[in-house]
Amino acid sequence: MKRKSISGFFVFAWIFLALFTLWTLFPFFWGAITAIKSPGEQYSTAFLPYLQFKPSSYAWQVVLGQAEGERTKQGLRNSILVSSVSSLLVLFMGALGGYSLARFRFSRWKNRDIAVWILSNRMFPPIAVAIPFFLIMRTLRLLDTLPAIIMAHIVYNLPLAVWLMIDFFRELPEEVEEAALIDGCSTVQAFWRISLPLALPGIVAVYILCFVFSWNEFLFVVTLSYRKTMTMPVIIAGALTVRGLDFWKVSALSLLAITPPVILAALTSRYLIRGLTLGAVKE
Amino acid sequence: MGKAQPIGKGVKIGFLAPSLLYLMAMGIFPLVWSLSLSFHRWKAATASSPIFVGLKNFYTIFFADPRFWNSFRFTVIYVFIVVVSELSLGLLLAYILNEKIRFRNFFRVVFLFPMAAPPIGIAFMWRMLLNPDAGIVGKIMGSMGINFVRWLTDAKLTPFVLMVVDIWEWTPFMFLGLLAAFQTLPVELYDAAQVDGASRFQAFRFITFPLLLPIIVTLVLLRAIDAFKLFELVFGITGGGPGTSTESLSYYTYTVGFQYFDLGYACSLSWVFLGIVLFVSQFLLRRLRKEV
Amino acid sequence: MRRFFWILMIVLVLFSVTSSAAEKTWESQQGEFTGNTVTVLITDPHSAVVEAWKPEWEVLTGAKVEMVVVPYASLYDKMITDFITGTGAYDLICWPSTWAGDVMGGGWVIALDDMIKEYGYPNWDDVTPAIKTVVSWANKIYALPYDGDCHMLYYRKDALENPEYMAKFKEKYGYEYSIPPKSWEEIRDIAEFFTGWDWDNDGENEYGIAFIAQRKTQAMWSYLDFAMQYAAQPGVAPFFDPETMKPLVNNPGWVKAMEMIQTMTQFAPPGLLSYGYSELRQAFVSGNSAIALDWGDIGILEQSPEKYGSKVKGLLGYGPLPGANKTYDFKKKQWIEAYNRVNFLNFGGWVFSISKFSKNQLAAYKFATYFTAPERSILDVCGIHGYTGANPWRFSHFENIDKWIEGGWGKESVTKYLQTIQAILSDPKAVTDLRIPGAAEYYDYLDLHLAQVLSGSATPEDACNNIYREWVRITETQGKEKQLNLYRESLGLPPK
Repeated sequence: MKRKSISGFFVFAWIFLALFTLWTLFPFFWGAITAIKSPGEQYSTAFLPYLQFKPSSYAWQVVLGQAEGERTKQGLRNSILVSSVSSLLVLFMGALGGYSLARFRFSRWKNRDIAVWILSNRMFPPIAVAIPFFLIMRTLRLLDTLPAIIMAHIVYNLPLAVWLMIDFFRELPEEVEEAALIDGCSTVQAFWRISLPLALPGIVAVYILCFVFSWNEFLFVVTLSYRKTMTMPVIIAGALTVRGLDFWKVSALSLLAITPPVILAALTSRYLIRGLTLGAVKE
Repeated sequence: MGKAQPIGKGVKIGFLAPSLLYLMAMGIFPLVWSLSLSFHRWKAATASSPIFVGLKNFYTIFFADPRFWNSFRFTVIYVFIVVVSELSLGLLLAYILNEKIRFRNFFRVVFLFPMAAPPIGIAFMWRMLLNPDAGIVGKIMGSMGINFVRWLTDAKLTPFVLMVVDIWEWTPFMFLGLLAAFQTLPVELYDAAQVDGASRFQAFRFITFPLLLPIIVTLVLLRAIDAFKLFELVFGITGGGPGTSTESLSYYTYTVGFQYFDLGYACSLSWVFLGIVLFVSQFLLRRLRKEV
Repeated sequence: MRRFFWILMIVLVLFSVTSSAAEKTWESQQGEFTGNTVTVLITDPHSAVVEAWKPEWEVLTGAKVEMVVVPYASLYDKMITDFITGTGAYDLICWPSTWAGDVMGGGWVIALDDMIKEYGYPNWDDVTPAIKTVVSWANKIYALPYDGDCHMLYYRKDALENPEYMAKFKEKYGYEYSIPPKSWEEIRDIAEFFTGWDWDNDGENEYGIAFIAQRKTQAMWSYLDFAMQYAAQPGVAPFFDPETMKPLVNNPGWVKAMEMIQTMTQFAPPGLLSYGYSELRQAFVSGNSAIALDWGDIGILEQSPEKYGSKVKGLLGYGPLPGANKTYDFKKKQWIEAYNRVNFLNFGGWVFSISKFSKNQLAAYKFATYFTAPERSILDVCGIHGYTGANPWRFSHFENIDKWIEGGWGKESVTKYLQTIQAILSDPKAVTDLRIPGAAEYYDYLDLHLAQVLSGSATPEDACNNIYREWVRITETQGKEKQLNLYRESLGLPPK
């Protein structure tokens, strides 16, 4: 990408980036500030710790200490397990499904119709499926277990993965695969050795997306879990009590909850860029 | 799409089978359950058993339920505005960050934050920021001389406030998808364009955009579907108010299903909802694919 | 050998005595439930109560207490889903009695009369009459009381009791208001008087009145505070005609109440329509209005500046709901032009019930009676256990002032506070909440149309007519005959 920089564009780009960063970060900044204020100060406008107000670890003591701390830690653990495992399974099924719909032609139904059917699974409002899911899981004796939530989240995320994969695979130049097929690779090998690595940036992106969606999903978890399998969103929702909303608690919990996906995104972001330089796309 | 290749039927099916079978296994029962209930009246909380009412629920929805139409109107406008805004912002960001810009990794990560936080937490956080008496937004605007703005209390304004929060939260989704797409674009096309002396905008309009269109369609579709299901922000910030100005379809369905436990009617609403979303997605697919 | 025999006999006798005693008392016995698990469905902050008593009860009885803490917003669906699928995951459920129609009327929880007869109950006479009504359904007891709930009036003493302001008020309106204000008409004038100027000299303008008004945060109870005075009389519930099940919500009394609450919005802080529980309580204890309506909670938040940012500690006065200068008699279809004041049990308080699908009903019963016994429950309501969401409900709670002072209250404040609540809860003619199946839906439509009036997009008259239409529809969906009989049942009338 060697291009002479057009300075006007870069000035605009920088201003835009700066504003957008401010816009994006401010709520988090405020959340972080609120999470280190004492409950009595949660509504004050002070924003410089030590200078304008005395930081307090009260919120963190509540959120991480004693009985509630047990719940928070368990919630974090559950969230990590559910999101990573369900996204991995989704990725596996989604890559296969997406590839087949991008590359093969099916005779009985049109590819498009299959794809739309798959997607329609995501269109249904969760309310309509929450109780049937509950009944299924009860029959399978899986209520309040992590597999139940993982299974539900796969239904929720798989359509998304398949759809994105279709596009990613379609973008790939077919010639490379054809060459491989001529060289005597089987279809499976061509998929595994050629297409999959080429689509890696896309795959990573899909993984992050599924991870985040699963991480943030609320209604299924609330329906299918009792005590051992609550995930972070449900725990955060618990901060809205009949007493009202404790902003210091919400802030602390939300900060905790966003950390793992952000770390994941930060790590894979580098990977995304390396995916670009793999070379085959550029030839 | 693919030239006819000698691929065995078994392989084809084998690739597709895991997704298809899984979705069928998990999807069929809920579908049948809710479809059959949508022809019944069932006030589940009071232990009465379902009563068959035929198409009455659907008749009520379309001809005798102003609340449905109100939430329908709100949801459609909402989806349109947020999807268009998020797409434009996301495109711009992805375009900028696809360039060699200093700290671009930093920006790439930072811009993902809003999407990574649970929507429930986000809703509560914005509720705190927008609090009319003690919220920081009001205080900042007050210090700039703009006195109290009725963001959460004016029925005309509040829908837009929700949209702003949605745009804040979901622009990263568009950004991420588009960035991934940008990076699979063949670079030599640009070099050729550069040689031809095309301007930056021309290059984008005539080379990048058409190439991106398939993924844009997909992203718009996925985002539109999720925007239709708008729930957490309403749940956490406004509760559908003031009046019914921010009651989304999915929030209304939730209210009927999980608060009135009128499960028959809630299932009918869900099917109508599914119909609307299917219609919109078909429309999007046709319309946007044609414009290539 | 002989000695050994005697020891054995004594042990046996003792054992049989204790075990037979265990059958008769509500008091939990040593090791009684070893190996059992009691699962409690509960929300924060009530979970604080169970958490406080759980360790010692577990040690005492050998049972295990599992808590399922869910967000308040999903408590109802969690509970009903468990019921309608017959799952039976919970033994003991902590729920707000406003759902009585669904939970008790639906037959999902067991009647406790037999257990109370067999095992006794920790001092039933100590329970206030209003709370006894709340836990009963069709003359049977379906829940164990745990919390007393009613709206009350809070006012700023530094505003309303300031002689200078009182004189100015008299000059402007030509009369002296009572302390605490006794009618909505008075409150209207007081609210107007205290709106838009800085009467507490903190550099900010204050407002007249604040109440919960956000959609879906149960703003309808603020409205019902008005409606009770204009459309009900002591002991006469204003919701439906008990002869025909015709909703009364569009009669002149309800419409007048709707007009009144709409008027009040002019004298309220600008953010009123976004006031849910938290916003209201925070705004009021930070000192932005002269009058507020709330449950007992503001009183507790008032006491702790360091935890809840209260700037009004010691500055609040408490009073019962104000009355009205006239009231509408729906039977005679005419106004009664006389002062009327009705105590109303909004929400009715949280209660503990035992699921009919539970397999540990006795253990659940004994656990619940353990921590709701007089000497233990006082610690939960007075602030010693922190904020638990439970408000006083036993006569002994009102007498034990020392504990309250230990919990952080000033003596004068707590005396007034307790007097006010006790008067409401001891009133045998207090009107209970709407307690028939579908109450959640009836109330949601009330809330919805109220929200339109408050935001100015509907007139009081139209809104009341709309509520009427919706209530008729809901009644028909639920089954009119059934609803009529249940409504009569909830009022203690014989079935038709």
